[in-house]
Amino acid sequence: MPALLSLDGVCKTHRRGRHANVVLDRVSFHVGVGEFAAIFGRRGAGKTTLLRIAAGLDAPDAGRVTLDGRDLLATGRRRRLDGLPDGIGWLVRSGPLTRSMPMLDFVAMPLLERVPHREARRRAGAALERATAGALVDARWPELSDAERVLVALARATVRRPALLLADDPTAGLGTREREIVLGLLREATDENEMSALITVPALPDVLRAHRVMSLSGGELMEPTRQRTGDHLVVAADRRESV
Amino acid sequence: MSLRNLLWFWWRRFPHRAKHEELFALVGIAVGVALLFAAQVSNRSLGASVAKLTDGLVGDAQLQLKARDARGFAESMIPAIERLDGIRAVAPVLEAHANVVRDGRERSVTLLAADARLAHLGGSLVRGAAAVRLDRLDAVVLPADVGRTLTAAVGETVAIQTRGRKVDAPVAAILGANHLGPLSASPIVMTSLRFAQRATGLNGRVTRLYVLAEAGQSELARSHLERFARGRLDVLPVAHDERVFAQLSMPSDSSTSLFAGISALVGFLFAFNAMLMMARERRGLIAEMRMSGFRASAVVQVILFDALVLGAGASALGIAIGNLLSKGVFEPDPGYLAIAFPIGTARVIEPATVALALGAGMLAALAAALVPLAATYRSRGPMDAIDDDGLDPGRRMLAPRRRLLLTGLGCLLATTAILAFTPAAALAGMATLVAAMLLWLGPLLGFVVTALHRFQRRLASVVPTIASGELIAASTRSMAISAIAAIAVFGTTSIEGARVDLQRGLDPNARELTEVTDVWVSPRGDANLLATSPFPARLATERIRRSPAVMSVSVYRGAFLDIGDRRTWVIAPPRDATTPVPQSQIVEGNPADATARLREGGWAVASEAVAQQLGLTVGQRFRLDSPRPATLRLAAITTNFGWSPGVLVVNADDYRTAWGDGDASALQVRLSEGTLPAAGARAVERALGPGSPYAVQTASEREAGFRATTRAGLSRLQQVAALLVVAAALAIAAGTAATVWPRRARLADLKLVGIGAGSLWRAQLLESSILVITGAAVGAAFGLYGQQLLDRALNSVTGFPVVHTLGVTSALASLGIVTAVALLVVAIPGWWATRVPASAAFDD
Amino acid sequence: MLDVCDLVKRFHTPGGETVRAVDGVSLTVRPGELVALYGPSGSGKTTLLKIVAAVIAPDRGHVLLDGRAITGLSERDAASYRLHRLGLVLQSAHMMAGLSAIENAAMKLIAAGIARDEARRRMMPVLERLGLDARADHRASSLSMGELQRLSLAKALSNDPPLLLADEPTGSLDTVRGRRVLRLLRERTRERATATVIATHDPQAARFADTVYTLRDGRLDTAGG
Repeated sequence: MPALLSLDGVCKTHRRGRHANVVLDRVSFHVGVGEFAAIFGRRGAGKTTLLRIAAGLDAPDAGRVTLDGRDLLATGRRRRLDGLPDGIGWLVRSGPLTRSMPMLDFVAMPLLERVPHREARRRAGAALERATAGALVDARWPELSDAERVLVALARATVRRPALLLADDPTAGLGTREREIVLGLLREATDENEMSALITVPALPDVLRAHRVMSLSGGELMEPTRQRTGDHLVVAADRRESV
Repeated sequence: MSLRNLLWFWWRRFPHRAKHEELFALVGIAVGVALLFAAQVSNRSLGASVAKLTDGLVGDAQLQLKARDARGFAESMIPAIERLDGIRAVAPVLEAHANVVRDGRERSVTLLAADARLAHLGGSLVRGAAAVRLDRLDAVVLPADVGRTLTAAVGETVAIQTRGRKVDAPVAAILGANHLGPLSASPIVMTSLRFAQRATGLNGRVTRLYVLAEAGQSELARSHLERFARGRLDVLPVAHDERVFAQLSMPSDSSTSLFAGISALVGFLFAFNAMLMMARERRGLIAEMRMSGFRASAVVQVILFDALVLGAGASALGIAIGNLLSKGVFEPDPGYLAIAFPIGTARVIEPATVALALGAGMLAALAAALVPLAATYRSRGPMDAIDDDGLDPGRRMLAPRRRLLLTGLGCLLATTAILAFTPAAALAGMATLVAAMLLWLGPLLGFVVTALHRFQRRLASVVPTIASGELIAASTRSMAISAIAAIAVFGTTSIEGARVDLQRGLDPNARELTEVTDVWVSPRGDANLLATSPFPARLATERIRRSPAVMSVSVYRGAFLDIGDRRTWVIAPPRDATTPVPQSQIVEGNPADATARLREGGWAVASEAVAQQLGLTVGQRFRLDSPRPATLRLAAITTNFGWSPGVLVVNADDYRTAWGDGDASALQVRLSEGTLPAAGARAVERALGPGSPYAVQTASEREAGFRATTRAGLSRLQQVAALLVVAAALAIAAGTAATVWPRRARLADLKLVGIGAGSLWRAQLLESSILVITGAAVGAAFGLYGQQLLDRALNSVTGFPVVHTLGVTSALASLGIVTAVALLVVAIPGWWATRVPASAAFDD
Repeated sequence: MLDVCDLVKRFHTPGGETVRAVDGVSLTVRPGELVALYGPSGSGKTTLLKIVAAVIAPDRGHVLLDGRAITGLSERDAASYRLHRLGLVLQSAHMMAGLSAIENAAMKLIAAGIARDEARRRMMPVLERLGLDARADHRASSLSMGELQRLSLAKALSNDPPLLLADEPTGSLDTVRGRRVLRLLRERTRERATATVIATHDPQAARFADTVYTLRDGRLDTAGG
């Protein structure tokens, strides 16, 4: 699989007052085209930080991040001014600022920059359909259940047909069945559309649908080898060599 | 982002916006725009009225031949002028001050008379009056406003009192705005040349000749005219009157500009604070857009579009409100300007004023919208900075800073230097003084807060603890509140102090000018306040002398003479005057020598501005362009006696020679021993007979008239001071609301701890009090210094006499008022914020 | 001792529906007992805590603390109750950044009428116990998250209240620090015979409690524990 997203030797330290916390310690990995990868780790392990760096939203203290060969850090400050780089979709679980905005408009919003609004709404409708949330076009955010909100958020994050979808703990607070649906959709989306997805999860059982699983702990990213024993996954940590 | 998308996006968000804050911003900008618009309309209307009058008469003419006195020049000269090279057409005009009376009502007007030739110049006034054939009229045409004041109707008779004569005139027409436009509110009376000449007794004479030169031959025509005039008449461009008016209205203009400037500031402050309140929501919107993947340019477009719509809406609202304001509160008031010009009270709204108001409002909205934008782009990532409760972490704003104090000291020294050495640059001194004040405010505030913090050690109340906690963590906005209070008190102290000083200078001046005699007799008419309207004195003098109450009658003369663009007030006191020049008004030169020289003849006394314009020093010879040019020497330099363009005092004989006639402008009556002024005045009135065209005033009545006029002239300054207080109070309220609103989570938490809303509100009040009172006290102290600077600045701009005092009472009053108003207003957002429910502290 | 009897609280959503945030909950907390209210977000734990903190009023039911009613209090009495008889620890501590750590912690004492110097004297041992004595005079804005949470606890305990409530006390902390806070809560509960209630969705936190009440959709789950 050709690599879409590449992180090489990424380091990040958080400083607060006199404390310094090494969040990421020479983290390196690739996500291929059409690959669904998941990173799990304890709360506070640095998953969100890693994801933000992968999205080009934050700059690491050291290391390289490339998307489809483009160095995400090259244009430095200007890139960060522009928000999300081209080709990346970020699943945001918060709703629209104006609470009574219909979901169709909400999903159409990212397209408004480049596409006439009628066309934007058409594509938004299609995105909602793909996320099995077609019935929610006229719904308002406060009326939706947690699971429905995640579906809408997924539609919004994919409406621009990004090459890479990033999601930080997308299934938090959802029931088991709902989690299945969301993860299933993600898997489907990556299988059918050559879209890659990288998500973070707090616990291992959530990663059953992913192509690939990595763990982040103590600043180090590891790819566990899997051994099936009964119904559980036994995880043996294996230090991943840097490429 | 395409315009259609921008519109659609705005529309979709429209019904769901943060209504309160947007409304606040809208109203705030509208208020600022309204004030700016109203002030500008009221100001520009006066000048526009003059311009329109000129246009109305002049039409296409480029030049004018103007007499230097009220007697004008002979009509018989006109045929010769018409034959001059380069001249295509001419039209004579006769103007005279008059008083129109009907049924006990009177109005001071300018009599405007012309003949058929004026129509050929194409002036709109003539076109408007074309319904009535002016040239053979033996009646008068009144504009609607004058007609209303006199309650006259077509066909009825009014009495025209002018130059000591009285003539009855039937009213031929009353013309309204549809014929005369804004001139329908001007104090003019139109009639034919013949009739006016008969009424004034100036048979065969005119005061102006408008000249239409052949195409491209204006220069040629002008040189011919100048040769013809032989230095006895002024050859001027038709725009001359507007320039003279501009000169005359400069002090009023300056204070109105100050007013307009502060109005604009009000609008900006409001817009700014309201936009800051909306900043949180704005930042959320920006984050939402950026996380959707919008480029920076698209984000900026959306934000600016929002601001543009808000700004445009607010400006439109503001202009509508301002229009109403200018009809009611800010009616154009000619005041002292009407003495020298027939200025109407019609409102003239120029497109430039609308554009200015619109532009200011939009600019305010745009500038304020850029703040959250800039803040976002300085932060690390798109989702940052949504949660900003106004704290500047790590920045100890209130800690004393040596550098601030030293720089402030430097500014203070600069101010002192300016005051001592170049008082004319006083406005620059004000700027350095304000800088010094603001630089010192921070450390002083820090000192007060630290003192509070130490003091409340002993106290067992939670109120000062919370207040000092907030003050110590104070953000820029808290400091801004203190600064606004300081600036407001500084401004009002300086302005009110300077105004009082000006008044103190002008009042004795008024007394000195009027107390030289017991009773004054001059032609009736409010516009004749300075007694510049001439009349033949013989008959009146004889009648008055017959009264037993009268001891003597002297002839006083005065006129307006245009020296360049200055409509100079020329005074020729009676020959037997003991003090021809008020001694206290002499600024340069020996008073005793000046008096002696003036009596001698061949000498004149001029005010500073006039002397400067003619490039004179005491003792120098100069040529006066009077109707008969004369050569005089400067005996002394004075203040301008309260007439800002300037004053010139000459000997009675010199005046007679230079002006060429024996007409008086007023009669100074001395009463017999033991006669009370009021009784004497009544006696003089009886002597003159009922319905006489003269106004009889005792010296104190006349003095009161002068003082009322100067007070009216300075009233704009009072309005400026009042506006400052209002603006400051509103700004402080807005700033407090913006500071307190993000604190609600913290306040809710304190409620959870068990601290009551009452205590929280008192803590908020204490915090605000400390900020406002410290600022106000600093402002008052610096304001006293500012008063000294402003005194000198006003003196150099207006030339008015000034008495320098230290307005401590005024400072304390300003401090008290600003503090009281600010705290009253601040109580509201404070109370409203403490209404936050305790449950808000739980993370929801 | 805390008695919660048959509490019901309904909310109306913008969509027009009625949600029963708390649907007939009854429980008891004895002095010296640490109770956990366990359940996912939206199960009603926070609403229940708010009612016990006299911050919102229930639609039905009542709450008694040591025999005295906490529901149906006037604004003033509720404030007095919260000041003198309740200690509250929330997920994120809102401190006054301009005041020092000890001044923040002593806020309840000052509000109760104790002069600052005296209040400070009483708070020092508490801060010592929580390991914050070195930071006592530092501005609250310079404290780390963990220190702020501990400070919050110090403030809650400052006047030795008979009832202690904590809403997701470990929510924003990592495991190590979270455990520390929970241990402190348990120690304190034992030592001072406080009745303590923790609302949490973290199963690890629930393990520290003597009794666990599981809430689901506003009701106590009698099946679990």
